[in-house]
Amino acid sequence: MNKELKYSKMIKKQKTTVFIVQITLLILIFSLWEILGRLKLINTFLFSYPSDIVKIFNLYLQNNEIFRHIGVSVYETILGLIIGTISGLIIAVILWWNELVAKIFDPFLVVLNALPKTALAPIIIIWVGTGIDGIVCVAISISLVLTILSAYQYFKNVSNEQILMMKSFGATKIQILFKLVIPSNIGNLINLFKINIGMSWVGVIVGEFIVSKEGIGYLIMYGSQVFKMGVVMMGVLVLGVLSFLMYEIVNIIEKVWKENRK
Amino acid sequence: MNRVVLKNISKSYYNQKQVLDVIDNLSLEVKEGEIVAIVGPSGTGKSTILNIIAGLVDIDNGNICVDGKIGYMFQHDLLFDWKTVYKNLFIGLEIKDKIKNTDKIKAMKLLEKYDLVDFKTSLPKELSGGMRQRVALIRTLMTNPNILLLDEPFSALDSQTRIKVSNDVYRTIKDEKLTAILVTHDIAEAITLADRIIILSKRPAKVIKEYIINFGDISPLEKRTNPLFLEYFDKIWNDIA
Repeated sequence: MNKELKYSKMIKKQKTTVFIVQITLLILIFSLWEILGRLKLINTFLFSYPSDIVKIFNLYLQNNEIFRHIGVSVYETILGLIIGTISGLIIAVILWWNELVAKIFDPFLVVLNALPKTALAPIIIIWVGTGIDGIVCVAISISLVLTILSAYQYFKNVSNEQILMMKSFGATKIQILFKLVIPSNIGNLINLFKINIGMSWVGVIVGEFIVSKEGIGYLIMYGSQVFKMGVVMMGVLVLGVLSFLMYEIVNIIEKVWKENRK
Repeated sequence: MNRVVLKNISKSYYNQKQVLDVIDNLSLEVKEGEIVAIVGPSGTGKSTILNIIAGLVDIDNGNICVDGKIGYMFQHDLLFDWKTVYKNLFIGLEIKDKIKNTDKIKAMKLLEKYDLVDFKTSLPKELSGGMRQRVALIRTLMTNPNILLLDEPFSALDSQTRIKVSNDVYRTIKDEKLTAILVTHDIAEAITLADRIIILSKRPAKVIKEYIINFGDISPLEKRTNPLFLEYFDKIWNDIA
């Protein structure tokens, strides 16, 4: 008992240390940036500096502009993330179900996967439209192919012996899918979902760069065009915080679900 | 009464390069309550025979007759690592969509019998290899089979655990009056567990010899020290070599 207590204390201590160092590092970087800016050692016109960014952020906060931009981008990202992941999974299931279909589509998927999807963004926006729909479609296009290929690979890697065992109990293909193939890959699928958060953000920002009236991507683009680097930096920082928050929310959901799974 | 009858069955596998004749005109009868061991060089299609009996593989020629419910035990325990030991037991029943209260009582009794009650809510990864294989045995028994197909079910275990688990399996088969077909490349295992041993040739598999093993009613462990054991071992060794 005593040993266990010691061990858990050690782990806790290590966790606190890691956290403190991380925070210190962050503060250090921002202070250095601020100091270098104030002392004019870096060109603040190009680099801006933290207190200036905070000032601009306050401005956007007071007229509620920032929430409009965040809201639009988050909405687009979540929509792209969910539609991209779910339709990718459905297609992966179809490929797993029917080997012939998988064989037919294999080269197409490989090419689509190798192609930088951002190259398709202008086409998609022209086809679908310049509003939120077009941007969501760009986000979907970026996560979809990766989801299909990864999930299909996960499904195919399920142990043949376990499938044989299920069959020896008389399991149907649907039962093998829902009782073995999907549950055994939940961890992998959650990881895929986490990767897709980043993918979806890429799609949204690229889409907003191309054409938009609002959103974080718009803010960054606008800032760079009028050479207000403070606005650009603020956009990037807000983006970082948002991605981190989304990632953490998924982590918490995963944790709660793992506890309840047993 | 015969539980399993195979008559003149043949099976070939095809791939792009060649036709692989795995089984050639093989016949086999297994009586109720009998333990039959199939021994032969590796890659002879011993597992294919079990898959054929279980109806998982189609045959090219011949007849199969299986009278009874089949329980299949594999080389690996194949436990679902995301489910607790207890939930793993119900995989077979779940597929048939009927878990009754009597099944839950049965599961608890079997867990008790194999000393696994304390691990009921553990995940498979927290168990030793021998315990895992026992859980796999209970999972198979939960569906009330009367014919057990055993595909080298102890080969992944270390030698001590192996003897213990094979003792358990032997007792279960004899106590529940099950019929069993055991595939193995371990001659000692075949001698200590089986009532009859069938020696297969190299691919394509044919029956080359049959031995009736008769020790009287003693445990597999006791058989190992019986003088008859070495006699059988020598004979079978020479057949295979």
